[in-house]
Amino acid sequence: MSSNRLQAMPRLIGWRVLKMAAMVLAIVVVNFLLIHAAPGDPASAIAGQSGQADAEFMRQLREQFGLDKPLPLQLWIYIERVLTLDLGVSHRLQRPILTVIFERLPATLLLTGTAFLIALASGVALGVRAARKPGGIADTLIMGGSLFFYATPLFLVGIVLVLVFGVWLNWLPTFGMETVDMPLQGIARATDIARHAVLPVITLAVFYSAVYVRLTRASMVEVSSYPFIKTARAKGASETRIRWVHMLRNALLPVITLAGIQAGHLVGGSILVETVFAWPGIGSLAFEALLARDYDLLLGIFLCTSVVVLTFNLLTDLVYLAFDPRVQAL
Amino acid sequence: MTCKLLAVEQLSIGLPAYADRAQAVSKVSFSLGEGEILCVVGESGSGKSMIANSIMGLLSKELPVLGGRIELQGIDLLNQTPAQLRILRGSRMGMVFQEPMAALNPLMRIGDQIAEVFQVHGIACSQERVADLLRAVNLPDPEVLVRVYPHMLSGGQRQRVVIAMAIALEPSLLIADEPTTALDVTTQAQILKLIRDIQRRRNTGVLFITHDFGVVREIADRVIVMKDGELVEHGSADDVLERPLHDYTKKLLAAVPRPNMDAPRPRADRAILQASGLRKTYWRGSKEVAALNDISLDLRKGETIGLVGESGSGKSTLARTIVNLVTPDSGEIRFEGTDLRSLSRKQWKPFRKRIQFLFQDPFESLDPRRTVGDIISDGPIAHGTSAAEARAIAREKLQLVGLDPSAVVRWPHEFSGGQRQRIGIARALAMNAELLIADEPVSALDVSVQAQILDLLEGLRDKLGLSMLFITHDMRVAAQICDRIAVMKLGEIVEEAPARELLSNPQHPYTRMLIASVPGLAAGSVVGSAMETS
Repeated sequence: MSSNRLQAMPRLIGWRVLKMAAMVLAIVVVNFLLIHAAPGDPASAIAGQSGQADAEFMRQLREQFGLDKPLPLQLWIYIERVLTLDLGVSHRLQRPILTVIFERLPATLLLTGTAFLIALASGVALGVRAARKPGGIADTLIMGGSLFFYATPLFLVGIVLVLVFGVWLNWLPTFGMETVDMPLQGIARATDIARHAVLPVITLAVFYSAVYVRLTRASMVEVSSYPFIKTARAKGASETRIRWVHMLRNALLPVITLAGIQAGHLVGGSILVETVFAWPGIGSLAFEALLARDYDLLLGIFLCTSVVVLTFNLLTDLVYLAFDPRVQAL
Repeated sequence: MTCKLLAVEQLSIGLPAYADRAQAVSKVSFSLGEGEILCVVGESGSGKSMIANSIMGLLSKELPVLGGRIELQGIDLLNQTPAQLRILRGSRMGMVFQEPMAALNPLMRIGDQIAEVFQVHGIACSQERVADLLRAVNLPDPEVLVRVYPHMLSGGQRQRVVIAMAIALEPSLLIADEPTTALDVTTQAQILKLIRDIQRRRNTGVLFITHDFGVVREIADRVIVMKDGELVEHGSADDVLERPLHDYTKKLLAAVPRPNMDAPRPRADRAILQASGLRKTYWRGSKEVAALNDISLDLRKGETIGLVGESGSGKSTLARTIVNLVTPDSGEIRFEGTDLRSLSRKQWKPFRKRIQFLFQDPFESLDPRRTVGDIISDGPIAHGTSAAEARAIAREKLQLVGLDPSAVVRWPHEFSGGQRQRIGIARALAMNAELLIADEPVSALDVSVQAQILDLLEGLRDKLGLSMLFITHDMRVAAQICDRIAVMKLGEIVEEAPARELLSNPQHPYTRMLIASVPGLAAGSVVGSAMETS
């Protein structure tokens, strides 16, 4: 039966990818309409910046950006371009949007990916420790700490870290991704980036981690009451073995679900932290694009983040499929 | 005389402060010899499982052992360190549990779970050894099974796997805590036989915990009877079953359902419910499965028909089809001549009142956030009765089912299982139902409570002229309360006859197998005696 499951895999994944494509198209349409429902347009933004706004200039701008055409036609043109992977040109940066996004993407992935892995590992480990003796000292401390970080706004944690480690102790850089005035190469550059990454990564990780701690603990406590745990004890298995072999694997199922959801937000969910630490990633790019009413760039970022979300949804389901033999379909 | 294997002396186990009594088990003493099967019998809450768990050292922290001794082959189990106990578990004593569906780790292959017993005791384990064990518990295709996950097995197969793990290291003591309660009756018969075989082959001492006297009759050498944490009777199986001394044992034995010996009630001419050619199929993957296959049923006014079958036989689907919760693919259902299938939602409404449902689980079928009065008066109010009047009906019906009318203001959780089932009956009666469909209404209840509910249903039936479709997996229960019995298997009624006729002269092979599987039958069971007298 398990071999059937694996044989059906390529077909199942193909079907899912097809559904994903349809979903992306729907997202493109909805994003486009949402953006155009907001008041103001790039023409008025540019006109505002340049300080002159006579009607003729506005008309020219709108014609240049295709904004004078009826909305359905604009949508159609946009979809056609997206399908050929041409996301257009940012009017603010005067550069192709796809290039800009791919320039910024590694920085964000470095930040959020590291934070995600640290959060997952530390959250699960602390959750397991807390569940060992519910109501004990370790449990109280861990749960208290996680509640504290869960309840504290992200930017506040960031600002406090900047104050303590950056300003008072002066241990770590607090701004940007690398030292700009010192072109470094190789290991020196990597170390420099790592030093810059510490504070933003910690800021993001403590928040994510708090959620994993709570979920893992609750899940472990729940699983510990399942009959098969008693079966394992009756076999003579040690408590350590029961905890790591029998309880943890079963307790991880809901954690995987949550991790999948959070992984989907790796690209879109770090706007606050990137802004606080001036991290040159997608988040700060989106923030700038929003302020400048750079519609096409914003739409490109949305498209990119939604593709990431959908991809991670699929990956999560695949992990689940590999992890839980009872799951039969995607 | 057998050698002494296990000795329990003056064992007392405490309960948390909020419990209804001070001790879960108080001053219980008994012993078990090698190769002997000792049954611990009692109703829920009698402390019988606590004894099992205390021997294995598996009691939770809220249940401390307060005093006494437990000795296994001379080892004082209560004075072992956790590490020492861990080594004894699995090697000297093995345990089988009640819920085979949940007793195996869902994420681990069967073979790995069995091999784990050897691993944790530091014993090398070959594939053949695991396969041998699977063969020893009569599982087919051991080579395939080792690679399979628990969810692919049936309940009976899973219980065999659990037994294989428990006997892997050939322990001298096997503790079985209600191992067949969750299984179908034919599977139960097989598992009981398996346990007896193992006990004979390996001279294992078996401590067998059960609430079912049929099972006791089937398997026990000696019996102890527990009530509220105390041991009330202790003796050989013959003595306890045939010549019980304690009143409580007598009461329990009297509560075991037995075939109705009264003259059969005359059958009315008027049918209340007629089903013919009912069919319902489901698609499971690419396979079509018939849940109901050409079902025909003729229930007369005032009559009780028992629908007996194992899990998956389609008996609940049939009940749900009658009340329009499941739409059949084809066939006809007539209630007093009206075809229910052609009715619109609105036209159905008066019939909803006349056909009422009684559910299996008295703990889940009552809304915990509503008072008993609200639960019972809901139905009448939905059919246009004023709230005050519905309240009065609720009080009246509560009295009718033997509860105090003041229960209207109380909450479901304040009642015991039997009392809740009475509330369920009152709810059905509040609609002045003519046809009661009872889906396993006594399966979740202790035997003494079960007897009370059956008595109540019988009394109400006679008093109110109720017709009943009574669904049960227990042939003994059906034999007690039903005029006729229909046996279902894989969506078909394979045999239908007056109850006594069906029991004494079963025609279909499956009916014969079901009756033969009823525990306790071989040693002059209740059904057996019915067969002799008729």
